[in-house]
Parts: sequence; structure tokens; C-alpha cells
Amino acid sequence: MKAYIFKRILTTIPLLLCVSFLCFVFINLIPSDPAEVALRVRQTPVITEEAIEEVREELRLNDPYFVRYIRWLGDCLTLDFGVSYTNPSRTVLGEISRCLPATVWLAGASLLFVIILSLPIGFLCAVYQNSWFDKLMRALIFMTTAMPAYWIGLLLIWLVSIQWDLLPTSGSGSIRHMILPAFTVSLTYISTYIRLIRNNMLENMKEDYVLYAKVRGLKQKNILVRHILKNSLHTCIVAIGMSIPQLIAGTIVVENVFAWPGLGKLCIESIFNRDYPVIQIYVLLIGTLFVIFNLLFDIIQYLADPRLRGER
Amino acid sequence: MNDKEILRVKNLVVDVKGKNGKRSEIIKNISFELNKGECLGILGESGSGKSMSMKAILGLLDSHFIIRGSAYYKNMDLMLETPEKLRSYRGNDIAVILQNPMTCFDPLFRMEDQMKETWQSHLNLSKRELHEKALSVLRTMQIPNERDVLRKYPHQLSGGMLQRITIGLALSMEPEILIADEPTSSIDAITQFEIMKEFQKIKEKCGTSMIFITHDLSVISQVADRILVMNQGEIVDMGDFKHITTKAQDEYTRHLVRSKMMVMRQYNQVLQKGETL
Ligand SMILES: Nc1ncnc2c1ncn2[C@@H]1O[C@H](COP(=O)(O)OP(=O)(O)OP(=O)(O)O)[C@@H](O)[C@H]1O
Ligand SMILES: [Mg+2]
Repeated sequence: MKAYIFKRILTTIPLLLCVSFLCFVFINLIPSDPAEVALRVRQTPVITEEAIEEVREELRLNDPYFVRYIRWLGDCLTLDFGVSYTNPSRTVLGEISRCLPATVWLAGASLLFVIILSLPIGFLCAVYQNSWFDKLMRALIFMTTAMPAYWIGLLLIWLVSIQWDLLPTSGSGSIRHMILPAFTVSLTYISTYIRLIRNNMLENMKEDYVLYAKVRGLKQKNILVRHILKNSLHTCIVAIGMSIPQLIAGTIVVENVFAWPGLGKLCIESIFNRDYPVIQIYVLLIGTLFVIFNLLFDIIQYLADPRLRGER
Repeated sequence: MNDKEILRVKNLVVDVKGKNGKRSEIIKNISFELNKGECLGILGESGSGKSMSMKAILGLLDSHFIIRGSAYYKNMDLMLETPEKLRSYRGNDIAVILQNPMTCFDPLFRMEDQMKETWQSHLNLSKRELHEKALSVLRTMQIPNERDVLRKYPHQLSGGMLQRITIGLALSMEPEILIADEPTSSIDAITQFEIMKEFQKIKEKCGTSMIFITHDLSVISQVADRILVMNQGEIVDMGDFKHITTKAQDEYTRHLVRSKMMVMRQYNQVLQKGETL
């Protein structure tokens, strides 16, 4: 068991290296010259060849590619992500850690929405398969998958904040500010998970162990909750591990719609300002989160399943 | 229903509602009775409706299926009982053993929990009593290291051992009727032999009324007092083993017997060849 976990952790190291390398390469593929961008941002009046060369030296952009990558990676490992091109008085780490909490809160609230809505709805849809409730939910799911998040966000602002005047339209500061953006982010995941839980449960209902449970006279409620639901959630574990970083990354659009001061907003601003170090670290962070959550939930699934655990 | 009978199935029909609203008959008007202490064998090929009849009687079919007819158990028509009443009969009055013991148990629970669950659904026992009962079932079925076995998960036990546990569980409620649905067909030959010995023992010692479902003529010959042959949802022949093998009226039954005999002959030939080599 320990061997498996150890091995699994080891395999993430090359994966993380790949992520970081891709991250580095892609940013460097962008056609505009970061030195020139840095000069513009610093509002240098005349941009001369010499000035560009100076900044290239300053930012050490003249070194060979691979050397720059290794240096960058080494810096990253010591959490030294450099300074923002846009505003040299700010470090990238400072920017990221300033915006991260807001995004984590938003993603956390979204996850909460996903769990408290999709679990009971998915369960009921499976138990009352093809009932009016199931059909209604399926229609709603179909509709939400066809609508982009920002559009739903705008609709919600219009309906809930403007028409009904129930919640603030944008900004942050209280739980009330969080409800609409969190709900908007969670919407696509809610439909995914309703479908996942419903279909998993329907699949499990066909299993032999359910027939045998019925044949032994177990109570229907027990069979549904203790056995079918538990087994269905087991197959959701890995999916949740993927959804958490997706939620964090997925706030990018919604944060801008709701002016939520998180990573997504920072990322978009950095893209407009061509603030490469920030973009790079944002992408690296999201990539790393994917790898880590995947690892974490793989291990959770492994520990939760007696067959995988290989108990003897 | 007379005193001798424990179960009487009358004009049982099961229709299934297809996707396009079409109905097809899976069970076409079958009637039979099970006498007290008797072992009734139901023989039929795959898809002939053996399991379906059992599920219909136990109230295990969902609303896709339309069931008509009656199944009298102790002068009560099971087809008219409430779901809760039927549930309380299942496992308690009528116990069932299924085909594949390896997939019968929930893979996420320890054997002890799954065994206890059965009794908790019917009896009011303390934790201690439940534990003792679980141990005693394993002892009765002569399973070694019973304390360890209780702590194991299903995948850690062999098919033969799991099937012995399901048999032990079924008998532990002292059911009036025991239904075995192909209990040996997914088990290797040696274990099959042991499991069949268990059934013979049940027959001799407990005198439980039994319905033994199988597609295997040789297996059924070992336990059944009376055999009922099913084909495409109908009962096509009925009688004891000798009657079925020699005097069957029905063309299908004769075909079944003939092909079985042929397999046995081939098998014997292979054996003889093996000896001469
Ligand atoms: N859910 C279902 N919907 C429609 N038809 C079904 C369904 N389940 C089973 N059937 C049909 O009912 C018939 C009888 O099935 P049943 O499971 O009773 O066969 P069986 O005699 O037990 O065979 P086996 O030896 O394979 O267990 C089959 O022809 C099958 O196609
Ligand atoms: Mg069957």
C-alpha cells in the first residue's frame, strides 16, 4: 500500500516537469518581445535598440533557452517567481497570493453548490427514473450545457440583482456577493455530476449484488443509500479530483463578469498588459493543481476501495 | 391449494414493455406447484425464462414488466401482497441462492457487515447476537478461520467459499422455500461437486422445499425429485429424471436430452483416449 502511494508520488515528478516546460515554452512562443513590452509598460518615452538590449540583459533574456528554463524552474522551486513586468515594484508571488484566496473561496463555494445540489438531484433522478422529475431535470441539464457560463451569469445578474434586487450585482466582501458568481461557476458541474451520479446509480442497479440484496429482503432504502449510492460515488472520486482544479481555472470568465478580485481577473488583466511572468505562473499554478489533485484523489480512491488496496 | 403444497403458481404470465411500446411475452402462462419437502428442478436453456419466473414470484420485477396470474404461498397470493410484505418474505420465508457468488456481494463491505445486514432486515438482534450468528453460520458451513473470513472483503474469498456462505446465509433464516438459481454454473468443477453435496445434505437433513434451477441435466439429476422443462417461456415437460430422459413428449426436451447425452459420450471418449495415451 505504501509502495503504491510512493510510486504514485514519484510518477508525478516527470509530469510536473513536463507541465513546467510546456508552460515555459508556450509563453516564449508568443511573438511579441518581452523586453519591448517591459519598456512600454514602464512608459519609457523613446524605445531604442539599446534600451531593448539593456532590458534584455536586465531580464536575462539573452541566455540560451534551456538555461533560462532551468534557471526559471530553480527560481520557481524557491517560490521566487520574479517581478511583474507591468509593475516592477510588485512580485508575482505577491500578486498571486493577493488574488488566490478570493478564487479559492469562490471555487470552494461552487464546490459546495455542486455537492448539495447534484447529490440529491442525481439520486432522485436515478430512483425515480423516467418520472416527471427526472425528465424535467434532464431537460434543464440539456439547457445548461448549451448555455455558456458568462451568459448565464449576465442573465442571473439581470434577474436576481436588477429585477428582484436580492443580491449585489458584482464586487466582493460578503457571502451575499459570493452567491451569484459561485452558482454560475457551479452550474455546468452540477449538470455533469447529476448526470454522472444518475447514470452510475442506474448502472449499479443492474449489478448482481443489488439483486442479491433484494433477494435477501434488505430494505429498499438501505440498498439505495448504503450500497448503490456508495458504489456510485466511488466512481465519482476521480472525477471530483479533476473538477476541483477545473473549478479554480473555470472562475476566469465568471470573475470578470462579476468583478470578483481573484486569480481569473488577475490573469485576464495580465493578458491585456502582456505581463508574461504573471501569466506564466498562473498557467503553471493551474497545471500543478491538476497534477496534484489528480494524485490526491487517486490515492483517496485507492484507499477507499478494498479491491485496489489489495487487502489480504 | 392442498396441505401437501407450499407454493402453487397458476397461469403466470410476464410481459415486457419494449422501448417502442411493443409488448413481448417472456413467460407464457406457466403453472406448477412445489410440494412440502420436495426438490423441484427447473431445466431450460439460457433465456428460457427460468430466472424471470423466480423474480416474478418474489416481486422483483419493476414496472417495465406486467405480471398476471397468481402464486399462492401459505394460502396467500404473493402477486397481491404489498411490496413491504413481499420484502419481509424474501430471505426470511423464501431464500434465494444466485448464480455468481463472486459478484453477489457488495465489493465495498466486509463479509461480516453483509451477513449481518440480512438478519437485521428481518430480526431484532443485538450486535453480539449478530456476531455470534455470523460465526455460527460459517462454522456450520465448515469454513475455516471464521473470524478472519468475517473481516474479509468478497474479492478476497474464493467462489466456492462465497457460495457456501450464501448457502449458509440462506439456511440461517430457516426458510420454508429455498430457490437456487444455477448455483453451480459459474464455479469450477471440483467446487461444483462440493456445492452439490451441500444441496444433497440440505435435502436429507433439513427437508427444506427447494426449487433448483439449472440448464445442466447432470446437475439436476443429483437433487431433483421432479423436473420441469422450460422452453421460451413455456413449460414443455414435467416428470422425474427417468421420465425426462426416456419418455419425454416434447420435441425440445428430447433435443435437450440428446445433446446432453452426446456431450457426455464425447467427454467419455476423450477420457478414454487420455487413458490410452
Ligand atoms: N430487462 C429485460 N427486458 C426485456 N427482456 C428481458 C429482460 N430481462 C430478461 N429478458 C428476457 O427474458 C427472457 C428470459 O430471461 P431469463 O433471465 O429468465 O432466462 P434464464 O432462463 O434464467 O436464462 P439463463 O440461463 O441465461 O439465466 C430472455 O429471453 C431475456 O431476453
Ligand atoms: Mg437465469
